[in-house]
Amino acid sequence: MTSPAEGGRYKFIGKPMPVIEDRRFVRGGGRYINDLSLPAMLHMAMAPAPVAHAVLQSVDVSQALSAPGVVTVITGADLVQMMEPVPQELALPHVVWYPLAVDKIRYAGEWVAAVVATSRAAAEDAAELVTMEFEELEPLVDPRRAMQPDAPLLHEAESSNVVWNERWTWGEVDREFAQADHTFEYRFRWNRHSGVPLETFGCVAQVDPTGILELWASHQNPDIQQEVIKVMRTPKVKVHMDIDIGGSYGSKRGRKQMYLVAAAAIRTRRPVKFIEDRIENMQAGDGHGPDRYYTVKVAATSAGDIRALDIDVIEDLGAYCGRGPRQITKPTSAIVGPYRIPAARYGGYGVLTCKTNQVPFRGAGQSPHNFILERTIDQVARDLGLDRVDVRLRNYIQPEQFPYEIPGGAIYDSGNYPGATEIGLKQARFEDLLVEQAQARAAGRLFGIGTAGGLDPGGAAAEHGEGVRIEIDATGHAVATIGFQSAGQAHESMVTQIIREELGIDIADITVQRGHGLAGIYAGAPTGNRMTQMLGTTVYQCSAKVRRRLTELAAFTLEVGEGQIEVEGTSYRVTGEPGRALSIRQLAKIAYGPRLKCPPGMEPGIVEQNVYAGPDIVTKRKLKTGAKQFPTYSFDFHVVAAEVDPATFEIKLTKYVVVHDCGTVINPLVVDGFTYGGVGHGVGGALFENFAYDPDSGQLLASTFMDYLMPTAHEVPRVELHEQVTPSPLHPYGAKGTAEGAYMTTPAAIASAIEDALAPHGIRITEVPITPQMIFDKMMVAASGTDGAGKDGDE
Amino acid sequence: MQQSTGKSEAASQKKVPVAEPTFITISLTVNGAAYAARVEPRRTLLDCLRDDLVFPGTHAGCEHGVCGCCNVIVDGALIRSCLMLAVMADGSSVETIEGQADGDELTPVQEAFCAKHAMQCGYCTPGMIMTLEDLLRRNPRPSEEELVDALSGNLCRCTGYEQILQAAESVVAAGEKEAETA
Repeated sequence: MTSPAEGGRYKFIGKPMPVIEDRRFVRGGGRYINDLSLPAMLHMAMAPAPVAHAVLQSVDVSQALSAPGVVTVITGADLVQMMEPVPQELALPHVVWYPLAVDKIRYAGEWVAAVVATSRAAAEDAAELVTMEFEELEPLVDPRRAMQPDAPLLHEAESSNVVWNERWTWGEVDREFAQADHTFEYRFRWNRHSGVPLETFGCVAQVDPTGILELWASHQNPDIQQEVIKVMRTPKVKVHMDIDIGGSYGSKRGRKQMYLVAAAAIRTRRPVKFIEDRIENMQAGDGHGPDRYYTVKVAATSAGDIRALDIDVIEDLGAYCGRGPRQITKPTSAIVGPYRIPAARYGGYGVLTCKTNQVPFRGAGQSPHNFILERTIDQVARDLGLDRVDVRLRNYIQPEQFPYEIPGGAIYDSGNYPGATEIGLKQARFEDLLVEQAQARAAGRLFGIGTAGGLDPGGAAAEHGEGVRIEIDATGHAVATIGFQSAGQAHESMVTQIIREELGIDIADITVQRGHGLAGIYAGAPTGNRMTQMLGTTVYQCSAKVRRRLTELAAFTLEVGEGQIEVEGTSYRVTGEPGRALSIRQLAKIAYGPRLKCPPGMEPGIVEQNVYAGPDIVTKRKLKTGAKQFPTYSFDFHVVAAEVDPATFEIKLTKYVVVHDCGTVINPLVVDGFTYGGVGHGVGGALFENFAYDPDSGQLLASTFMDYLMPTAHEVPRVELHEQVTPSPLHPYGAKGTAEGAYMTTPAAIASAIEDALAPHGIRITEVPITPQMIFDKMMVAASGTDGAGKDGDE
Repeated sequence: MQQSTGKSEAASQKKVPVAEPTFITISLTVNGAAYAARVEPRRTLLDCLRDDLVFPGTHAGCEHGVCGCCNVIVDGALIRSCLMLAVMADGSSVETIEGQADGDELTPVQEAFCAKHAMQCGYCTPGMIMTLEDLLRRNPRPSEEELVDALSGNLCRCTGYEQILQAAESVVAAGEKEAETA
């Protein structure tokens, strides 16, 4: 039978649907991790390391243990007995990571002891009484220093601080460089920033009366269940997935925190809660994003055709090899961005330093890559004396070239980059902006226009599948069980909207419940724009199973062949005989009633389960070594106008236009929100946010919101948003994953505008965040007449 | 850098036992109902509302007065409840997010937040709504600049503020329309 969705005409998909989750959030009715309280629950606080790098000789917890309310104090030595080390992305037997420092301190603020007490206040008081003796070593803050042969080793048993070193060549890179009309080399710097959700990470653990270790956490990946089983050495684990997460953007993946509360709950036989305070979160929460130095070489023709890229990256991973390496390799899924560049080399170094670990924040390393690609296009245009937009248009993959295979073998599903660019220039009134700029420059003002495009790969880890269970209960209501919890992506609403479309059931009659690790739902996680592709498709497929079951039941009851049943909304009727019809409610009553009224062999009830295994393009193709494939590729094109105050170098974004294309939009309210919000994050990364470390002491200089600056409603411009729809052939509705694209395009667009504003002074922007201080320094160099203003890509 | 040995600060100090906490009983009105709480002098109003009373809708974001997640209205003034001690609220009248809706009936600001999807994760939302309530009581017809100014004391990491401003503007526009027809 055909699905109601086929043919591209939908009743509900694509129309704004009020977001179900919003009704509870506006009342203060969201239930976050810190709202969970269990009987006899204890609280935890951390004693942090005061220095960045040292041999930890001893930890004295005796004073802390005798403080009022303290139940126990856990140290690294205790954990070695209680658990396996925290798993890391690379197999590095000599990089051993425990939630608390064991015999070395590897970054300032690293947790050394965990105090468990009857209240958080009592735990904090006692944490101040933990003392430690240590012998200081040189803090390694700069990965380029950590790479030197004489640098001290962070993990002595490992022979180097460099733990990742790969280089892949796809296409005739050397030949292109040898034959090129022009070759250029640029350096770029992407400083550390991250999602910094307003809710810090938190978790609660208890051992239930039957011996099951239960965990609740503001964690975005429910598949953590399997890791907990391994790390805590018990098969009896139940990770709950039914709390609201106060923002993640990839950053809510605390693992050591969960193991710590688990260890504390096991030791005390009481529930234990740990909610990071802001300093614990910023200094030691393993939540920082990419931190990179780039060298980019380009081969180009005089006409502006880019023939090859050679990209070298030094990634500052932090003290342990958490989730950082994944961030270095993610860009290989879209290595040439929207351009038909035939050859690319990509590689570099992942280096351990005295900083907290990385997390795959919003785009998992694609954001700096999009930044350096778009910055490179601007530089090439400038160095060839060509127009920035013309060079883009000239190099774009054309709409008729899809599906398009890039160097390495990833295939882009669909796209219309020239179309989005045209809409962007038109809606921004680009010609008028140029006139405005000429007038501004004549008046001595620093006014610039920037453009940037960015690819937004969607459907990460598609090969891991995604499950759902849909049941129609005896009264005809639908209950969908999903295997994870959300951090603001409105998944309950998306599942509801698809069931509404596919089964015709009223929104009020649909319940979406979030499961737990023992609920039997095969689930991945909302990473890498994954859930529209994976959850959307699995709900679509599972709905079809339910529809088939209802059809079979209707045909049996109405004594016709299944082929004679047609479906209209919730009505299953005999074709051509509108009077012979059964509603879902009536069918449900039959399905849960006496077996004689059901088709022989049909299971009682209406319960269907489905696991979508992912599209063939991901599950059945082998790529060249190092390359990655995502199912769908969304696209953003941004046009920005910026003005720099010539006296204070304050930056103002005076116009911001976005063209966004994620194929079919399921709920415009939600997708618009991702795009606006992405611009917000991008403004932060472009202009303000920086986890700066003191180069001498290794102390984190931005560990509070007074020092780590984030944009407010003042700094984020009003965004004019326009949608282009280029459907994906890989999704039942033609939808593509999205939510990262706007963030991953914004820093390049803003840098482009600021560089354009400062062009009369010959200044180039090669680093984010772009601060008034940075512009001041560059203006000083420019005024001194040396050519250093455009040349650093460094602090 | 020279290697040095060190001891963390507390080690060099004499043993200072932490004092047993003392408690003070306060009484206050929250969303129109009277409550009493027994709190340490150092307890913040935020912790008191969330943990001693029954108002978990007010959220902790930074606990140092920057983010606005914990905004509530005390005796008619918008305040950061993480920067006010509970004992300072003794005898006060406090309004939190839980007191906004009347049963199932949401306030115009809450309805507008739903209509425009002015949130994603919902964590900053209670503080945002309290800030707007406070502004609209003082200034029912704020300009865009005044709206941005008022909201700039609240951080949001999800929305980029656009749909929040759209929601706020729709409330102001509805108010203006009502005033015209009245």
